[in-house]
Formats: sequence, structure tokens, C-alpha cells
Amino acid sequence: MSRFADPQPPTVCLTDFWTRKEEYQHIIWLLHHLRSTDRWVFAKQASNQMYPIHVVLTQKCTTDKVGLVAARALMHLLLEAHPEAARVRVNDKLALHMATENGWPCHDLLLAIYPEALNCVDPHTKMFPFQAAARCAANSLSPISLDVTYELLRSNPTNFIGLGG
Amino acid sequence: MTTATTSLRNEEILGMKSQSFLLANNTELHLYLDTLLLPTNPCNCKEEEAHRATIDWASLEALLHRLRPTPKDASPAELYTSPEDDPMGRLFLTRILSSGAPLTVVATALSVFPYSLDKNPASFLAATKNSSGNDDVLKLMAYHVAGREEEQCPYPWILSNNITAEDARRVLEAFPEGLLLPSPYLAGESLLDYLLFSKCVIERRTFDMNLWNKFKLVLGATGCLENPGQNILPVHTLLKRALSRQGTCARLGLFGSAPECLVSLILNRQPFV
Repeated sequence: MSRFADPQPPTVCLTDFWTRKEEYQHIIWLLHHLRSTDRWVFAKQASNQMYPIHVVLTQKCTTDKVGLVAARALMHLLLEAHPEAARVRVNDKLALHMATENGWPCHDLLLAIYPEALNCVDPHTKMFPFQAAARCAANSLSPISLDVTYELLRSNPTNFIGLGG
Repeated sequence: MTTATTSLRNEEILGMKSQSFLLANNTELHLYLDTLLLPTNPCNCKEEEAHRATIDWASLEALLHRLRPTPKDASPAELYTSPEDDPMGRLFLTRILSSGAPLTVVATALSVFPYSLDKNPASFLAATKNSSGNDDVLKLMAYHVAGREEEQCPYPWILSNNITAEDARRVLEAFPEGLLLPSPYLAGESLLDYLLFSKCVIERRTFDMNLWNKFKLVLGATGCLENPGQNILPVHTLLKRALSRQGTCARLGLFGSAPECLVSLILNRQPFV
């Protein structure tokens, strides 16, 4: 696992459960209604090719277990509004690469839209998605990364076999 | 608006004194206002236009130049401009704006009554209704409020139910930079942050169509100001705002702090009120 070790310290997310709850409900409530009235804005691409989902996935996700539920709900909303974003490469990275690297709990949602991403190597790190998830787990960045690593590996074990060969 | 109204009542006596002062010392101006501005009760548009045509704005401006702001240590009886609410100035400014005053007259009036635009959406509304496509007057007014003291959003009141989304758009177009400024009337937040994060909005969470349209207007305009030259990216703007609310990871801690009911909220798709 030393290959995946990262010198960066684990991310500590500060949470204030009761005071933040309503705030984030409100943000997602607004996004939900924006999707129902103006769905097209979710398909807008910035000049750096980023869709809204990439704006989120380039950030480190929380390690808070309850917060992960909300994070997944956000991903669900963004992907439902514009599924094509899962197929787009931003700086050569797919959304799956970003999600596994930053600990976002949405690999299954992304693979449901674009299963080929499972076998795509991140050209920057030269890693398969399961390897990026393993590195994330090794750095304790996310409590779900180990599960994600196994699930990705089990989906296509030949990637690992290829590494060994 | 309750505070403003109460304050206005408190200033009523001062306003009456101001009127007396004007009457005694500026009879000519007072008569001018009486005959040309105040008695107007036009029954229709034609009468209103005819009335406007009779106003000699050059004469009015010359009369205004005779007024000089009184020093701060002047006695209350001598004051015709008040640092709080300025009822005389508010009435005067709204009146001339309703009559379609040209830019130079409005500028002169603001130099005489510098506080008249404080907490005064009525004047802005009059300007939006009567400047007939000329946004220079609106721009002047917005700059006057925004730059007079510490920088603040000059139009927090556009969120009021009484302001339509179309009028809000005109005000924003006149001075878009004001959108990013915080306002003491919005809990120290900018317009967008107030709609996204303020406890008041979150607890109520009732957006009628007018407020929803204004929210989208503010969201789009904020995105344009923060990313000039880019397409309008409302969702990007909203997400970046939420993710950077308190520092990056803590932000996602924000998502991290959300309970499971968040999921049910989304899946149940509560109706838009």
C-alpha cells in the first residue's frame, strides 16, 4: 500500500450538525427547484469544460458519515439533471476519477451512466479508479473508500490482473 | 420597513419644521414646488405628460442651487436636511423623480439632500417607472448610496414583494457592482448570500414566482460579475458559493452535517410553493 501513500494529512471536516442542517437542506431545495424550472442550466459548461458536477467533485468530500448521505443526494440530483457530464473529461479526468480521488460516494451512479469509465486510467496519476479509491482509503480521507475500492475491483478484476502481469 | 416607518414618524416633526423653514426662507422654491410639482393629480397619461412639459427644470435647478447644506452644528429649526431618513428630502426627491426629472436636477437635489435616499425604495421605484429607458438617473442614485459611506449594497429592498422582477432587473442593470456588496439590511450579506444562507429565508422557504424570478436574476447576475466574459453559469455559481461558504472542507462538512432527511427531501420532491 505504500505506493498509494500520500504525504498529505487526513482532511478534517468541521461539522456543526444542528446549525448546518437547515442550511444545506435549503441549498439542495433550491437546486431541486432550479432543475424543475430551468433544467437547461445544469447542462451549461464553463470555459474549462466543467459541468456543475465537476465543480463539486474537484473538492474533497466530507468524512462525516451522515454528511456522506447528503453528498450522495447532491450527486444524485446533479447526475439526474445532466447525466452526460459523467462521460466528459475535464483536464483528462473523468468524473469517476475525481469522485474516487476525493472520496465522493457516487461511483455506482457514475458507472450506471458510463460503465466504460471503470477501465479508464487517469492520465495524470496513471491509476485505475479502484487504485485512486485505494489511495484515498490509505490516507483515511474517506470511511467509504475501502468499500469503494473492493466494489470497483470486483466489477472488473482483470484490471488488477493486468497490473500484476 | 417597520423600523424605517417608525423612524419616519419620529422625523415628522422635524420635517414640518423643515417645511416651515423653507416657507420662511425659500418662498420662491416653495411656491415653485406648490404650483408646478405638488398639486399634480393627473387623471391620465396625456395630462401627466402635459404637466411634465410645463416644468421648468432649469429654473428648479437654479433654485436648488440656492440651498446649501446646513452645518452639522445648526439648530434643529435651521435644518432642512436630516441625517436620518430626511423626510423633506425624500418627499422632494420622489416627487421630482415621479415627474421625470433630468439627471442634472437629480444630482443637484442629492447634493442638497444627501440622506434622502437612505432606506428609500420609493424614490428608486419612481425612477424606474419614470426615467423612460434612461438608466443614468438610476445609476447616479445607486452610486450615491453605495459610495456615500462604507460600501454597501444600494438596493437591498429589491427583494421586497412590492418590487417586480422587471423593476429589479432595471435597478441591477444600472449599477450591477452593487450586487456583490453586503448590506446591513440583509444581515451583512450580499443579495445572493442572503437568499442562499440567511436564517430568515431558510426558515420561511416560501418563494413565490416574483421572488423566484428575482433569485434567478440575482444568481445569474452574480455569476456574470464574478466570471466576466463567461457564459451565464447559475448552477456553478450556486455550488461554488455553497462549497466556499466557510472554507472548503468545512463546507463539505456542511454537506457532511446534513441528515438523512435531506435525501427524503430530494426523493419526495416537495412541491414548489
